[in-house]
Amino acid sequence: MTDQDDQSWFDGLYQTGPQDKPPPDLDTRIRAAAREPAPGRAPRHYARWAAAAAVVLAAAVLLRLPPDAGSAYHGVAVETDRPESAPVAPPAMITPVETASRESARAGADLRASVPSTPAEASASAGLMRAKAGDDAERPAPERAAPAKQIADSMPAPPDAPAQALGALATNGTAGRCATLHVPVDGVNHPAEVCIDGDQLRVTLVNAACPPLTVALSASAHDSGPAGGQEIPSGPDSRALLPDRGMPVCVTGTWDYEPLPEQPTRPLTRP
Amino acid sequence: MSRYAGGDANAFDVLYGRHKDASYRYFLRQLPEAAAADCHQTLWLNLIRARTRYQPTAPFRAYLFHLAHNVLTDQHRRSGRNPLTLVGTDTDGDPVRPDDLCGADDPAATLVRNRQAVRLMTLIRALPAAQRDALLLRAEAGLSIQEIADITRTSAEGIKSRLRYALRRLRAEFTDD
Repeated sequence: MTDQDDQSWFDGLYQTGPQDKPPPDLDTRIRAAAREPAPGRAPRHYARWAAAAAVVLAAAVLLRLPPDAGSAYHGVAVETDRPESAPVAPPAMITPVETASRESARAGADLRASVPSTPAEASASAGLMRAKAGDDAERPAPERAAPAKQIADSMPAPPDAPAQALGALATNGTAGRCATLHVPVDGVNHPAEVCIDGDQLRVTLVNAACPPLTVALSASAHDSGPAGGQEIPSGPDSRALLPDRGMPVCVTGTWDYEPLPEQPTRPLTRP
Repeated sequence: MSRYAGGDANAFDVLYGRHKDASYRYFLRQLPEAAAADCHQTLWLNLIRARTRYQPTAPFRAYLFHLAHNVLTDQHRRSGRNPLTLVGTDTDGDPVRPDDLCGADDPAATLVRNRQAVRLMTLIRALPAAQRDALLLRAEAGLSIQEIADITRTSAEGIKSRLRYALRRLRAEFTDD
Protein backbone atom coordinates (compact mmCIF):
# COMPACT_ATOMS: atom_id res chain seq x y z
CA MET A 1 0.00 0.00 0.00
CA THR A 2 1.28 3.42 -0.88
CA ASP A 3 0.87 6.59 1.05
CA GLN A 4 -1.66 7.71 -1.49
CA ASP A 5 -3.71 4.57 -0.91
CA ASP A 6 -3.72 5.19 2.81
CA GLN A 7 -4.76 8.77 2.28
CA SER A 8 -7.62 7.77 -0.02
CA TRP A 9 -8.79 5.13 2.40
CA PHE A 10 -8.75 7.60 5.26
CA ASP A 11 -10.51 10.38 3.36
CA GLY A 12 -13.27 8.04 2.24
CA LEU A 13 -13.89 6.76 5.70
CA TYR A 14 -13.48 10.05 7.47
CA GLN A 15 -16.14 11.70 5.34
CA THR A 16 -18.69 9.22 6.60
CA GLY A 17 -17.91 10.17 10.17
CA PRO A 18 -20.15 12.19 12.39
CA GLN A 19 -20.56 15.76 11.23
CA ASP A 20 -20.50 17.31 14.64
CA LYS A 21 -21.60 20.91 15.03
CA PRO A 22 -21.08 23.36 17.84
CA PRO A 23 -23.99 23.71 20.25
CA PRO A 24 -26.51 26.37 19.19
CA ASP A 25 -26.11 28.39 22.38
CA LEU A 26 -22.39 28.53 21.71
CA ASP A 27 -23.08 29.84 18.24
CA THR A 28 -25.35 32.50 19.70
CA ARG A 29 -22.75 33.70 22.19
CA ILE A 30 -20.03 33.89 19.59
CA ARG A 31 -22.18 35.76 17.09
CA ALA A 32 -23.23 38.21 19.78
CA ALA A 33 -19.63 38.80 20.77
CA ALA A 34 -18.77 39.49 17.18
CA ARG A 35 -21.18 42.42 17.09
CA GLU A 36 -19.64 44.19 20.04
CA PRO A 37 -17.46 47.22 19.30
CA ALA A 38 -13.92 46.54 18.34
CA PRO A 39 -11.56 46.62 21.28
CA GLY A 40 -9.17 49.50 21.26
CA ARG A 41 -8.44 52.82 22.85
CA ALA A 42 -11.68 53.63 24.56
CA PRO A 43 -12.35 57.25 25.54
CA ARG A 44 -12.07 56.17 29.15
CA HIS A 45 -8.56 55.03 28.43
CA TYR A 46 -7.62 58.44 27.05
CA ALA A 47 -9.28 60.18 29.99
CA ARG A 48 -7.08 58.30 32.42
CA TRP A 49 -3.97 59.30 30.52
CA ALA A 50 -5.11 62.90 30.36
CA ALA A 51 -5.71 62.99 34.11
CA ALA A 52 -2.30 61.51 34.80
CA ALA A 53 -0.65 64.01 32.49
CA ALA A 54 -2.45 66.88 34.21
CA VAL A 55 -1.23 65.75 37.61
CA VAL A 56 2.34 65.48 36.38
CA LEU A 57 2.14 68.90 34.76
CA ALA A 58 0.71 70.51 37.87
CA ALA A 59 3.40 68.96 40.04
CA ALA A 60 6.07 70.18 37.66
CA VAL A 61 4.70 73.72 37.83
CA LEU A 62 4.47 73.69 41.61
CA LEU A 63 7.94 72.34 42.06
CA ARG A 64 9.53 74.67 39.55
CA LEU A 65 12.10 77.01 41.09
CA PRO A 66 11.53 80.72 40.63
CA PRO A 67 13.41 82.10 37.66
CA ASP A 68 15.55 84.37 39.84
CA ALA A 69 16.44 81.70 42.30
CA GLY A 70 19.98 81.86 43.50
CA SER A 71 22.73 79.91 41.94
CA ALA A 72 26.07 79.21 43.47
CA TYR A 73 29.41 79.96 42.03
CA HIS A 74 32.41 78.87 44.00
CA GLY A 75 30.19 78.15 46.95
CA VAL A 76 28.88 81.68 47.14
CA ALA A 77 25.34 82.55 46.32
CA VAL A 78 25.05 84.86 43.38
CA GLU A 79 21.70 86.18 42.42
CA THR A 80 21.20 87.02 38.84
CA ASP A 81 18.38 87.01 36.39
CA ARG A 82 20.31 84.63 34.27
CA PRO A 83 17.98 82.89 31.86
CA GLU A 84 17.58 79.23 32.61
CA SER A 85 18.96 78.34 29.25
CA ALA A 86 22.03 80.46 29.63
CA PRO A 87 25.26 78.69 30.37
CA VAL A 88 26.43 78.61 33.93
CA ALA A 89 29.86 79.19 35.41
CA PRO A 90 30.76 82.70 34.61
CA PRO A 91 34.37 83.49 35.24
CA ALA A 92 33.50 86.18 37.74
CA MET A 93 31.38 86.49 40.80
CA ILE A 94 29.46 89.30 42.34
CA THR A 95 28.13 88.81 45.80
CA PRO A 96 26.06 91.27 47.74
CA VAL A 97 27.57 92.04 51.08
CA GLU A 98 25.93 95.19 52.17
CA THR A 99 22.95 97.18 51.20
CA ALA A 100 22.32 100.83 51.69
CA SER A 101 18.99 102.33 52.27
CA ARG A 102 16.74 102.58 49.27
CA GLU A 103 15.29 105.75 50.75
CA SER A 104 18.32 107.65 49.60
CA ALA A 105 18.24 105.97 46.25
CA ARG A 106 14.57 106.70 45.73
CA ALA A 107 15.00 110.26 46.81
CA GLY A 108 17.49 110.66 44.05
CA ALA A 109 19.74 112.51 46.36
CA ASP A 110 23.10 113.18 44.95
CA LEU A 111 25.11 112.39 47.96
CA ARG A 112 28.17 113.53 46.17
CA ALA A 113 27.16 116.97 47.27
CA SER A 114 26.71 115.86 50.81
CA VAL A 115 29.88 114.02 51.33
CA PRO A 116 30.49 113.98 55.01
CA SER A 117 33.22 116.28 55.91
CA THR A 118 33.42 115.56 59.62
CA PRO A 119 33.64 112.30 61.50
CA ALA A 120 30.24 112.94 62.97
CA GLU A 121 28.68 113.46 59.62
CA ALA A 122 30.47 110.45 58.33
CA SER A 123 29.13 108.42 61.17
CA ALA A 124 25.64 109.68 60.50
CA SER A 125 25.95 108.94 56.84
CA ALA A 126 27.26 105.54 57.58
CA GLY A 127 24.19 105.00 59.68
CA LEU A 128 22.21 104.90 56.48
CA MET A 129 24.19 101.91 55.45
CA ARG A 130 23.90 98.47 56.69
CA ALA A 131 27.24 97.31 57.85
CA LYS A 132 26.85 93.74 56.76
CA ALA A 133 24.47 91.56 54.94
CA GLY A 134 23.66 89.96 58.27
CA ASP A 135 22.15 93.20 59.40
CA ASP A 136 20.12 93.26 56.31
CA ALA A 137 18.80 89.85 56.99
CA GLU A 138 17.73 90.85 60.47
CA ARG A 139 15.25 93.40 59.24
CA PRO A 140 11.64 92.33 59.05
CA ALA A 141 10.74 90.93 55.73
CA PRO A 142 7.90 93.38 54.90
CA GLU A 143 10.19 96.31 55.53
CA ARG A 144 12.60 94.92 53.00
CA ALA A 145 10.12 93.73 50.48
CA ALA A 146 8.11 96.88 50.03
CA PRO A 147 10.84 99.23 48.83
CA ALA A 148 12.47 96.48 46.89
CA LYS A 149 9.25 95.95 45.06
CA GLN A 150 8.92 99.63 44.35
CA ILE A 151 12.38 99.72 42.91
CA ALA A 152 11.76 96.60 40.93
CA ASP A 153 8.56 98.06 39.57
CA SER A 154 10.35 101.13 38.39
CA MET A 155 13.00 99.13 36.64
CA PRO A 156 12.87 98.37 32.96
CA ALA A 157 12.59 94.84 31.78
CA PRO A 158 15.71 92.94 32.76
CA PRO A 159 18.14 92.65 29.93
CA ASP A 160 19.58 89.31 29.03
CA ALA A 161 22.93 90.09 30.46
CA PRO A 162 24.14 87.28 32.64
CA ALA A 163 26.91 87.60 35.08
CA GLN A 164 29.33 85.96 32.73
CA ALA A 165 29.35 89.17 30.74
CA LEU A 166 31.23 90.75 33.55
CA GLY A 167 33.40 87.71 33.78
CA ALA A 168 34.18 88.00 30.11
CA LEU A 169 35.18 91.57 30.66
CA ALA A 170 37.41 90.65 33.53
CA THR A 171 38.87 87.72 31.71
CA ASN A 172 39.76 89.76 28.70
CA GLY A 173 41.01 92.53 30.88
CA THR A 174 39.53 94.99 28.48
CA ALA A 175 39.61 98.31 30.17
CA GLY A 176 36.68 100.55 29.58
CA ARG A 177 34.39 97.74 28.51
CA CYS A 178 31.02 97.49 30.12
CA ALA A 179 28.33 94.95 30.43
CA THR A 180 24.78 95.14 31.57
CA LEU A 181 23.91 92.56 34.12
CA HIS A 182 21.84 92.15 37.21
CA VAL A 183 23.17 92.86 40.62
CA PRO A 184 21.24 91.83 43.67
CA VAL A 185 20.14 94.39 46.20
CA ASP A 186 18.21 93.05 49.11
CA GLY A 187 17.48 89.91 47.23
CA VAL A 188 16.06 91.77 44.28
CA ASN A 189 17.99 91.80 41.07
CA HIS A 190 18.43 95.13 39.41
CA PRO A 191 19.86 95.81 36.02
CA ALA A 192 23.11 97.55 36.31
CA GLU A 193 25.90 98.62 34.06
CA VAL A 194 29.14 97.13 35.21
CA CYS A 195 32.34 98.38 33.74
CA ILE A 196 35.93 97.55 34.29
CA ASP A 197 37.97 100.64 34.05
CA GLY A 198 41.56 99.79 34.56
CA ASP A 199 41.66 98.09 37.88
CA GLN A 200 38.35 99.45 38.99
CA LEU A 201 34.96 97.98 38.87
CA ARG A 202 32.21 100.49 38.31
CA VAL A 203 28.64 99.52 38.95
CA THR A 204 25.78 101.78 38.03
CA LEU A 205 22.24 100.81 38.74
CA VAL A 206 20.02 101.50 35.82
CA ASN A 207 17.30 104.03 36.53
CA ALA A 208 18.67 104.67 39.95
CA ALA A 209 19.04 108.33 40.60
CA CYS A 210 22.56 107.89 41.75
CA PRO A 211 25.93 108.54 40.24
CA PRO A 212 27.97 105.54 39.33
CA LEU A 213 29.33 103.47 42.09
CA THR A 214 32.97 102.90 41.61
CA VAL A 215 34.82 100.37 43.62
CA ALA A 216 38.21 98.92 43.26
CA LEU A 217 39.20 95.48 42.38
CA SER A 218 41.04 93.73 45.09
CA ALA A 219 44.35 92.12 44.56
CA SER A 220 43.61 89.69 47.30
CA ALA A 221 40.33 88.63 45.89
CA HIS A 222 41.18 84.96 46.06
CA ASP A 223 42.64 84.94 49.48
CA SER A 224 40.44 86.77 51.84
CA GLY A 225 36.96 86.54 53.12
CA PRO A 226 34.88 83.52 53.89
CA ALA A 227 33.51 83.62 50.41
CA GLY A 228 36.90 83.79 48.93
CA GLY A 229 36.42 87.35 47.83
CA GLN A 230 37.50 90.69 49.07
CA GLU A 231 34.80 92.64 50.77
CA ILE A 232 34.83 96.19 49.57
CA PRO A 233 33.45 98.65 52.05
CA SER A 234 30.80 101.01 50.92
CA GLY A 235 29.72 104.45 51.81
CA PRO A 236 32.12 107.05 53.06
CA ASP A 237 34.64 104.40 53.97
CA SER A 238 35.17 103.76 50.31
CA ARG A 239 36.87 107.00 50.02
CA ALA A 240 39.96 105.36 51.27
CA LEU A 241 39.86 103.06 48.31
CA LEU A 242 38.98 105.67 45.78
CA PRO A 243 40.80 108.77 46.69
CA ASP A 244 41.18 109.97 43.17
CA ARG A 245 38.16 108.58 41.45
CA GLY A 246 35.39 110.31 43.15
CA MET A 247 33.21 109.29 46.00
CA PRO A 248 30.78 106.42 45.92
CA VAL A 249 28.17 108.68 47.33
CA CYS A 250 25.07 106.77 46.38
CA VAL A 251 26.04 103.35 47.38
CA THR A 252 23.31 100.82 47.10
CA GLY A 253 25.50 97.92 47.77
CA THR A 254 28.93 96.53 47.74
CA TRP A 255 30.06 93.44 46.05
CA ASP A 256 32.81 91.01 46.24
CA TYR A 257 34.53 90.60 42.99
CA GLU A 258 36.32 87.38 42.43
CA PRO A 259 37.85 86.53 39.12
CA LEU A 260 38.13 82.85 38.43
CA PRO A 261 41.44 81.33 39.35
CA GLU A 262 42.33 80.40 35.82
CA GLN A 263 41.71 83.78 34.33
CA PRO A 264 43.71 86.82 35.11
CA THR A 265 47.25 86.99 34.20
CA ARG A 266 46.77 90.71 34.59
CA PRO A 267 47.65 91.62 38.15
CA LEU A 268 44.93 93.22 40.12
CA THR A 269 46.25 95.94 42.29
CA ARG A 270 44.69 98.11 44.81
CA PRO A 271 44.81 101.68 43.65
CA MET B 1 -12.44 38.57 7.23
CA SER B 2 -11.21 41.84 5.79
CA ARG B 3 -14.78 43.06 5.53
CA TYR B 4 -15.40 42.12 9.13
CA ALA B 5 -12.18 43.79 10.22
CA GLY B 6 -13.40 46.85 8.38
CA GLY B 7 -16.55 46.98 10.49
CA ASP B 8 -19.00 44.83 8.56
CA ALA B 9 -20.53 42.78 11.36
CA ASN B 10 -22.63 40.74 8.94
CA ALA B 11 -19.48 39.45 7.31
CA PHE B 12 -18.71 37.57 10.49
CA ASP B 13 -21.90 35.55 10.21
CA VAL B 14 -20.87 34.37 6.79
CA LEU B 15 -17.37 33.61 7.97
CA TYR B 16 -18.51 31.79 11.06
CA GLY B 17 -21.10 29.76 9.22
CA ARG B 18 -18.48 28.64 6.74
CA HIS B 19 -15.84 27.47 9.21
CA LYS B 20 -17.48 26.78 12.55
CA ASP B 21 -18.14 23.07 12.04
CA ALA B 22 -14.60 22.29 10.95
CA SER B 23 -13.07 24.22 13.80
CA TYR B 24 -15.40 22.61 16.30
CA ARG B 25 -14.61 19.13 15.06
CA TYR B 26 -10.92 19.89 15.11
CA PHE B 27 -11.23 20.33 18.84
CA LEU B 28 -13.81 17.63 19.37
CA ARG B 29 -11.59 14.97 17.83
CA GLN B 30 -8.88 15.74 20.33
CA LEU B 31 -10.60 16.87 23.50
CA PRO B 32 -13.55 16.01 25.69
CA GLU B 33 -16.75 17.59 24.49
CA ALA B 34 -16.87 20.29 27.16
CA ALA B 35 -13.26 21.24 26.59
CA ALA B 36 -13.82 21.25 22.85
CA ALA B 37 -16.70 23.67 23.24
CA ASP B 38 -14.57 25.91 25.42
CA CYS B 39 -11.74 25.86 22.94
CA HIS B 40 -14.09 26.54 20.08
CA GLN B 41 -15.43 29.59 21.86
CA THR B 42 -11.95 30.75 22.80
CA LEU B 43 -10.81 30.42 19.22
CA TRP B 44 -13.55 32.61 17.81
CA LEU B 45 -13.37 35.16 20.58
CA ASN B 46 -9.65 35.45 19.98
CA LEU B 47 -10.33 35.99 16.34
CA ILE B 48 -12.96 38.63 17.14
CA ARG B 49 -10.62 40.49 19.45
CA ALA B 50 -7.76 40.38 16.95
CA ARG B 51 -9.83 41.42 13.97
CA THR B 52 -8.34 44.90 13.77
CA ARG B 53 -4.87 43.40 13.51
CA TYR B 54 -5.76 40.91 10.82
CA GLN B 55 -3.46 40.99 7.81
CA PRO B 56 -4.60 38.94 4.83
CA THR B 57 -1.19 37.47 4.19
CA ALA B 58 -2.42 33.88 4.16
CA PRO B 59 -5.67 32.12 3.35
CA PHE B 60 -8.17 32.71 6.11
CA ARG B 61 -8.57 29.01 6.74
CA ALA B 62 -4.86 28.67 7.47
CA TYR B 63 -5.06 31.74 9.72
CA LEU B 64 -8.05 30.34 11.58
CA PHE B 65 -6.51 26.95 12.18
CA HIS B 66 -3.27 28.51 13.20
CA LEU B 67 -5.21 30.17 15.98
CA ALA B 68 -6.99 26.90 16.67
CA HIS B 69 -3.71 25.06 16.97
CA ASN B 70 -2.51 27.63 19.48
CA VAL B 71 -5.69 27.31 21.50
CA LEU B 72 -5.33 23.55 21.51
CA THR B 73 -1.71 23.80 22.60
CA ASP B 74 -2.74 26.07 25.44
CA GLN B 75 -5.45 23.64 26.43
CA HIS B 76 -3.00 20.75 26.53
CA ARG B 77 -0.60 22.86 28.55
CA ARG B 78 -3.27 23.73 31.08
CA SER B 79 -4.49 20.17 31.43
CA GLY B 80 -0.98 18.83 31.57
CA ARG B 81 -1.88 15.84 29.50
CA ASN B 82 -3.25 14.83 26.18
CA PRO B 83 -6.67 13.54 27.07
CA LEU B 84 -8.29 10.68 25.33
CA THR B 85 -11.98 10.39 25.74
CA LEU B 86 -14.75 8.27 24.47
CA VAL B 87 -17.80 9.98 23.15
CA GLY B 88 -20.13 7.36 24.55
CA THR B 89 -20.92 3.71 24.31
CA ASP B 90 -23.80 1.76 22.92
CA THR B 91 -25.30 -1.32 24.40
CA ASP B 92 -22.46 -3.40 23.07
CA GLY B 93 -19.92 -1.17 24.68
CA ASP B 94 -18.75 0.30 21.39
CA PRO B 95 -18.31 4.01 21.19
CA VAL B 96 -21.04 5.68 19.20
CA ARG B 97 -22.31 9.14 18.51
CA PRO B 98 -25.93 8.76 17.50
CA ASP B 99 -26.52 12.21 16.14
CA ASP B 100 -25.31 13.68 12.87
CA LEU B 101 -24.41 10.39 11.33
CA CYS B 102 -24.24 10.28 7.59
CA GLY B 103 -26.22 8.11 5.24
CA ALA B 104 -29.80 7.39 6.15
CA ASP B 105 -30.97 5.52 3.09
CA ASP B 106 -30.04 1.97 3.98
CA PRO B 107 -30.32 1.40 7.70
CA ALA B 108 -28.06 -1.64 7.62
CA ALA B 109 -25.39 -0.01 5.48
CA THR B 110 -25.67 3.15 7.49
CA LEU B 111 -25.16 1.26 10.67
CA VAL B 112 -22.04 -0.38 9.30
CA ARG B 113 -20.63 2.88 8.06
CA ASN B 114 -21.45 4.60 11.28
CA ARG B 115 -19.75 1.94 13.28
CA GLN B 116 -16.71 2.20 11.05
CA ALA B 117 -16.64 5.96 11.33
CA VAL B 118 -17.01 5.90 15.07
CA ARG B 119 -14.27 3.32 15.21
CA LEU B 120 -12.06 5.53 13.11
CA MET B 121 -12.67 8.49 15.42
CA THR B 122 -11.70 6.37 18.35
CA LEU B 123 -8.50 5.34 16.68
CA ILE B 124 -7.74 8.92 15.77
CA ARG B 125 -8.03 9.88 19.39
CA ALA B 126 -5.51 7.21 20.25
CA LEU B 127 -2.88 8.64 17.91
CA PRO B 128 0.09 10.55 19.27
CA ALA B 129 -0.86 14.17 19.64
CA ALA B 130 1.48 15.51 16.98
CA GLN B 131 0.27 12.97 14.42
CA ARG B 132 -3.34 13.52 15.31
CA ASP B 133 -3.01 17.29 15.10
CA ALA B 134 -1.39 17.13 11.67
CA LEU B 135 -3.99 14.61 10.48
CA LEU B 136 -6.91 16.79 11.59
CA LEU B 137 -5.42 19.94 10.18
CA ARG B 138 -5.30 18.07 6.93
CA ALA B 139 -8.72 16.41 7.23
CA GLU B 140 -10.83 19.16 8.81
CA ALA B 141 -9.07 22.31 7.68
CA GLY B 142 -7.89 21.00 4.33
CA LEU B 143 -4.53 22.62 4.78
CA SER B 144 -1.51 21.82 2.68
CA ILE B 145 1.61 20.13 3.98
CA GLN B 146 3.45 23.43 3.99
CA GLU B 147 0.64 25.26 5.79
CA ILE B 148 0.57 22.60 8.48
CA ALA B 149 4.33 22.81 8.78
CA ASP B 150 4.11 26.56 9.22
CA ILE B 151 1.43 26.31 11.88
CA THR B 152 3.17 23.63 13.87
CA ARG B 153 6.63 25.13 13.29
CA THR B 154 7.84 21.89 11.76
CA SER B 155 9.43 21.05 8.48
CA ALA B 156 7.29 19.90 5.61
CA GLU B 157 9.13 16.59 5.61
CA GLY B 158 8.33 16.20 9.27
CA ILE B 159 4.66 16.71 8.58
CA LYS B 160 4.72 14.21 5.74
CA SER B 161 6.30 11.71 8.06
CA ARG B 162 3.71 12.30 10.77
CA LEU B 163 0.86 11.89 8.32
CA ARG B 164 2.39 8.75 6.87
CA TYR B 165 2.81 7.10 10.24
CA ALA B 166 -0.63 8.17 11.36
CA LEU B 167 -2.39 6.78 8.32
CA ARG B 168 -0.50 3.52 8.40
CA ARG B 169 -1.29 3.04 12.04
CA LEU B 170 -4.96 3.84 11.59
CA ARG B 171 -5.35 1.53 8.67
CA ALA B 172 -3.47 -1.24 10.38
CA GLU B 173 -5.48 -1.08 13.54
CA PHE B 174 -8.72 -0.65 11.68
CA THR B 175 -8.00 -3.71 9.59
CA ASP B 176 -7.07 -5.75 12.63
CA ASP B 177 -10.52 -5.10 14.07
